[in-house]
Amino acid sequence: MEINSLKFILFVAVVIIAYIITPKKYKWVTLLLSSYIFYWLNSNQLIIFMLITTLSIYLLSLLLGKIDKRLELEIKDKEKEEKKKLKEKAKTKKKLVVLIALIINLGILGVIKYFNFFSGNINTLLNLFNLNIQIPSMQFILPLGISYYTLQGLSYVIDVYRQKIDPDKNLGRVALFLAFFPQIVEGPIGRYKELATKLYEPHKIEFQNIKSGSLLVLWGFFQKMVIADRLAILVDTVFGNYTQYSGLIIICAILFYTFQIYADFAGCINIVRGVAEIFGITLAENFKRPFFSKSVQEFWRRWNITLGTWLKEYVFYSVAFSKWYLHLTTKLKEKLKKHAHLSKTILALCPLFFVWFSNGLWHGASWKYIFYGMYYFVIMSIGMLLEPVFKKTINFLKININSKKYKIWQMLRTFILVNIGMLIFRATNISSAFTILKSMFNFSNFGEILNGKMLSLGLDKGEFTIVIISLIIMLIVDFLQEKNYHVREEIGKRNVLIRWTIYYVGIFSIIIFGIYGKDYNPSSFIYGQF
Amino acid sequence: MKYIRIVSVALFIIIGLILLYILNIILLPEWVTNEGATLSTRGIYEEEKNSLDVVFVGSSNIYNGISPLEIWEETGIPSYSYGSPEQKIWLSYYAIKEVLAYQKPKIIMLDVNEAFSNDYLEEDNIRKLLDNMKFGKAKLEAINDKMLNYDSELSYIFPIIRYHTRWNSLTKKDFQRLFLDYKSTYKGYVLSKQVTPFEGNTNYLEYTEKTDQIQEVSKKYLDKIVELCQEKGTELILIDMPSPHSWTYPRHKAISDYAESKEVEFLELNCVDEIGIDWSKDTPDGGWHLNVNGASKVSKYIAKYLQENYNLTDYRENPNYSEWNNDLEKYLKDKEN
Repeated sequence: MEINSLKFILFVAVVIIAYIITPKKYKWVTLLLSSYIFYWLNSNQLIIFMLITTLSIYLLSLLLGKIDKRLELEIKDKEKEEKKKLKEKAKTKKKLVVLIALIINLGILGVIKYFNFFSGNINTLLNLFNLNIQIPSMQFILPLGISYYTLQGLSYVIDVYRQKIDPDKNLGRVALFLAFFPQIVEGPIGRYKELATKLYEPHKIEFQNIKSGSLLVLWGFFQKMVIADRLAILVDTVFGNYTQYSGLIIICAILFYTFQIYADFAGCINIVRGVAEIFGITLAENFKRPFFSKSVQEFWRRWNITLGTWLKEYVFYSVAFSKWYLHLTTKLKEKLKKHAHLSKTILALCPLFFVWFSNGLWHGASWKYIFYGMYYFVIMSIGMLLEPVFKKTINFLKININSKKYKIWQMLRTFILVNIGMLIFRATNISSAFTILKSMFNFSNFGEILNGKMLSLGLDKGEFTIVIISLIIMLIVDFLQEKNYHVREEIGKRNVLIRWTIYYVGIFSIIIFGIYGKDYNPSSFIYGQF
Repeated sequence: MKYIRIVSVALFIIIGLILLYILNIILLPEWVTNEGATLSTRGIYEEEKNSLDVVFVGSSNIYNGISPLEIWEETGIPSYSYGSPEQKIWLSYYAIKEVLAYQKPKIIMLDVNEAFSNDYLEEDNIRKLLDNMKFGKAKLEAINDKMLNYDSELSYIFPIIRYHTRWNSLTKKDFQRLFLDYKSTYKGYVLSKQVTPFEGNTNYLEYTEKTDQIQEVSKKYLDKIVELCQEKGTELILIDMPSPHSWTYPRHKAISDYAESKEVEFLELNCVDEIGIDWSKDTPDGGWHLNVNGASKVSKYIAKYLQENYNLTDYRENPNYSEWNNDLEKYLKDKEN
């Protein structure tokens, strides 16, 4: 059941009714059952993997809690030395427990998602050494949302390990936290502290929430079905046969892809957040107008925010606060005493490398995605290393960095860098990404834009018009939000005629202009496969 | 407050449904609404309720081969040709169900030419019948039938799901459709004056010992049709529309045997000398269908058959049917010009 389908809407409607009629005490059971039914409808028996994750993180967290409690009792009235010893011992135990959690959960993810990638690479290596051993490749079906709930589960165990939260004795609450049905598809990746209680507590379904949530769902549908899937038609044509195109057509395809993936992913998140809102649950934001970013760093604070936060919290900090790294820090600081900036940058870059490597790998089991992560790592490294140079240049040229012009330039620069990133993301592999990048600068067929070739890529004049109008609408909405204008609230304040007109135009533009049905092939959400 | 809220939600839904209804009509393609067969499948709803005594059901042979106004002219029996292209027996079953929901015909004549071909039907041909069928029991049953091998059943209830892509090719005509009257002046009959002679053997019904087999699915649905008509007290008559391409003696034999076993009438129309089909003049497409000459001959023969064998009322003087005489006048004029 795709969440951009009528079936999903009907499913949600049934869950809402079930939620309303369930007694307060058991409302969470309704949500959990619905989530499991939704999971079963999508992935059947593969639900077993989610259950393993749920049980493992639940039990191991309890164990972590027990170790902490026992330690507390044991160190009472003990000497300082002994206290330290006991603490060390407990820490080792806890590390072991968290390691088991990591092995189980990353193990499942690793085998199902990355087995062929790793085995393929090992085979290549073995071939290099003329060893005639081959690891066979295997076909796995990815269980729904595995990349998302695994991260959520791990964040829960690690938070318990770090004593940021207490382990939850209620298995139901932990299970619901991992399985909540709209969220399981593509995130946002939730944190236990912020989400679990919200999901578990009974909420009254308010008319206002239904209205406002539905409007967000509607907007999500518009982004996905009218914008993203329409852009995909041209993008697929060009990227599917990229050697045939160059110059403006390539540029157009890359640009379209950037908007496509944004409308696709943000659209899905809006549907998910809208549905949650109907139940009175506010989910974390995953996008904050990323195209208004003035630097690549800022872009990643606005794009797939919950993944970024996760990586910062559990990869960056894990590396930055690890023993070996602290050791390295002291050593490096000593050696580069005279180059404070350099040592600071190098120290920041090391954990960042792991962050971007994980980011790339998380997106998919292929070198292309790792390259994609590395692309951002390199850009950020250059940015950080050359910061003094940039500053000097700005001073030398007397550029007012607070001027609007400069900010627009920053946004444009970021947007271009992001587009190149998206090109890597979309291309079949690294070498084709380079070919496409090169052909982008080939303007020998400049006339193409006038001779109608642009209109032969799957979108005719009418479709192009819809693309442009809907992109403008999306950017206007983003712009208004950027200016702190609450679009949905403002719509709610208008008189009934304006409000209803907006609702009807929204609904019917999806019905009429949406890409679905026999003449089009409705597509899955891009981020659902990660 | 609560009361106002309920009313406003209801109003919002009602206005939404009205808009959906209007958009559904605008986005329907012309071939579903206003071409050949669809004039027949759509026009039947314009007939007065329970005003038809005979309804002909079946494939293109029906709406090309039987002209109800000729029968009216001869006998005053009100009838209608209700068919869609290549309509298989399984689809005819639902067509008959639909007819019986709006009319109480004394006789239903079912074309059995398609009983021997395979059951696969192109989507557009199914849609020519079902997209024009009104929402009701027959339609719901039809779209739930697994013979309807197309994924989106919902698109038969809301055709906009299927045709929404037409937003890009709308013309003035599509909007005018909102105000169109779908009355079929010729009572479902589609008039063709073209002549393309049949050049094969006109003695295509040569006697042989062999019997053809009625397709399994067709047989199942024929049984259901017989049962349905019995239940509703409507006489069922099987007919084979004249066609040298699709009719053979073994088929004739198979239907005769079937009719005998079910005790229903079978009116043989192929190579009945009395009808006098001239395959060099009476077909528009080399023997696949009948043109207006052929249809006129077949209709007259059926008129005579009905008059001689059934006690049906002559409504020609009935003021409720005065419109029929006007339609006839128009038909005769169109036939001549």
